[in-house]
Amino acid sequence: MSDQIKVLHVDDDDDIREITLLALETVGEMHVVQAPSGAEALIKVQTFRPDVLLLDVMMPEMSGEELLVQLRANPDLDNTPCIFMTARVQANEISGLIEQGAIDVIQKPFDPMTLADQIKAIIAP
Amino acid sequence: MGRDTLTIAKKAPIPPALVGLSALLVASGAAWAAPDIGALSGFASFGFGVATSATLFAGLKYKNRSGHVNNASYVDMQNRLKALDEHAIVGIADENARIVDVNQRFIDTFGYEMDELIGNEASLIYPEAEYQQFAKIRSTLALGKNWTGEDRLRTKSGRTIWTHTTIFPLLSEDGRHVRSISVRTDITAIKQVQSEQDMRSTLHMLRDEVYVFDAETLRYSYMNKAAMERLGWSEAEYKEKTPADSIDRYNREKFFESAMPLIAGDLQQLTYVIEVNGNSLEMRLQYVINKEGRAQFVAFVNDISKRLAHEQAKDDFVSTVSHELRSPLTSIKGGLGLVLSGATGDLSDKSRSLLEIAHRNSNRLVLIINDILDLEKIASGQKKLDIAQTDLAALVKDAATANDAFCAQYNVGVRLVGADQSHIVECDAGQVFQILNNLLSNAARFSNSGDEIVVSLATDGPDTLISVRDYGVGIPMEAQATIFDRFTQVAGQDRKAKGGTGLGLNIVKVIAEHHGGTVTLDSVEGSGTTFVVRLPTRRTVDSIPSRDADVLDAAQ
Repeated sequence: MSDQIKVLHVDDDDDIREITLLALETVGEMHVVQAPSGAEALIKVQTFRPDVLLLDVMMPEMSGEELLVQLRANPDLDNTPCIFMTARVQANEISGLIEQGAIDVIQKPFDPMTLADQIKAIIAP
Repeated sequence: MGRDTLTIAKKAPIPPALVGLSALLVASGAAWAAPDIGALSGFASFGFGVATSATLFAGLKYKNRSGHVNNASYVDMQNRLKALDEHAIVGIADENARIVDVNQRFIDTFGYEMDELIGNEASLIYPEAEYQQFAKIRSTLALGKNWTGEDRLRTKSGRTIWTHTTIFPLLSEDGRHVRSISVRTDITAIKQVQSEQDMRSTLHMLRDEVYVFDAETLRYSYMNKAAMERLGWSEAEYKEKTPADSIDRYNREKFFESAMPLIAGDLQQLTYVIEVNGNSLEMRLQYVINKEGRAQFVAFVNDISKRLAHEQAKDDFVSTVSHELRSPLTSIKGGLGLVLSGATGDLSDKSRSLLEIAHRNSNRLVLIINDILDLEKIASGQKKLDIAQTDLAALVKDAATANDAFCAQYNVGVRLVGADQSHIVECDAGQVFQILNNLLSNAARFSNSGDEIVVSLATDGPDTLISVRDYGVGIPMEAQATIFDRFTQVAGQDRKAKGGTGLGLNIVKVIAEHHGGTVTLDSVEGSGTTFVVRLPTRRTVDSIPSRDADVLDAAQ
């Protein structure tokens, strides 16, 4: 399906990646490319042009925020909407993430049945 | 009348004033013996009232030691008495401590008319707290001894005055205590200076830093030792300085803007977080008018760098624990949710039933983690109150709407009372919303299907009351005392079935108390429960939480 929403999902937790893949592809009918680290994500985007970036925040080596800065350096991605998905849910943490350039934050644990709808609502023009 | 039989108990010579005194006593109707000449010599230096003595002395001739009448000495003595009378407060009381006579200075000092004093017990001039002292003096006099010491007394208008006092008893020939003479010197001014000095030296040595600066020029007029040490200025140096010289990023306009409620008298104290030489300090500011009528700011400052570091460490810990618990829960809850949705294929009824139990409990675990984190933040003061003028009527409507779906699950309706007019309260809207949310969801869970919940707003004096009433199962008397404790739920009311975390009411209590308010409950088992949250409508307490440093921050 050519009008499928293309998602780049980056999370170092294997289980969460699997759940998210199910939630977005099986339930949400989205096209998902995943990476377990920022470094791998940067390689993936050389051949994959996502409609939305779905990034974990606390990852070893490269945090979600650092990854976003690097992704934004790519002219093809400097406007791509970014949603952080995080278990850090204190109000100041969330507002901090928005300041980093995310359009929204989805808190963990998320509901896999509605995750795709949530993302669609966030990026809807 | 025994003028000639006047007896002085002990040794001669008798000072002239004493003769006068004795004469006075004789003239007033009896013969008394003064018990101790030594003490009376002391007394002679005070003398007593001319107003009293002059009239009583009329007709008396003063005899010198050799028994000759000496008119010159008599005049000297009268003048001396007059001079002493100018100086001292003199009173005479009978054996029951009832006032018999006083001099003009007594009247002027205490503000009573002569006829308000005569016949009344001398305790009249003692404040209640000094009754014990009064009794002690009386028992000393009853033993025939004089009493000398400092007296704290009260004038008719209630003003406190201090006197240096000597009172001595006069005894009849047969040794009975029949009169007391009190001679007092007003030492109130000295006392005040002393206590001011004491206060000043205490203030000076206080560990907290104390700064006083003029409300107009903002020049420092006082710093205690700790304050001088912080800034490294001598007294001569700080008198030339203002807060602009000491507080980092100080902004005069912002400062005055923020201090307006103090100047207007709406608040007694404001708390700021300021930075001085890079250190975070908490400053409690008050506005006072000094004795000379000049308006001044008094600032009490202490170093909170350590406290802030501790708070940060705790904040980090809470955040980390939250993250570490949520991440695995994401997989558990997500996995169960997907399987139950059928996304992975059909389930047998037995499997579905078991997975639903697991899913429900993973949801509960998320709620508990959320509640614990909220409590932790509120209780440790990290979740600072964000106080603003808030219309509770609007807030109640929002909370009711937000709980619509939840209440529908239990087939419970919500009715609002008193929300048609605004109830403006100075509070943290987010936190009061949480109170409403917790009470509403609680009420819904414990209501019977088809019931309604009544949420009412009312004003009671300086407070605003929010009450949430349900008509459900109620709370047994024995459980009411502990219902606001953490993880307390009523025995027999199945927590799992009701789905609460056991923290909701504790959160309500903690938030209410953080606002200077209370929460109470009224419940009858079987017919429902009313929770009443009482919040001060205006925050006049000095416990207003720290404002952010940016209040004084010019960069903002």
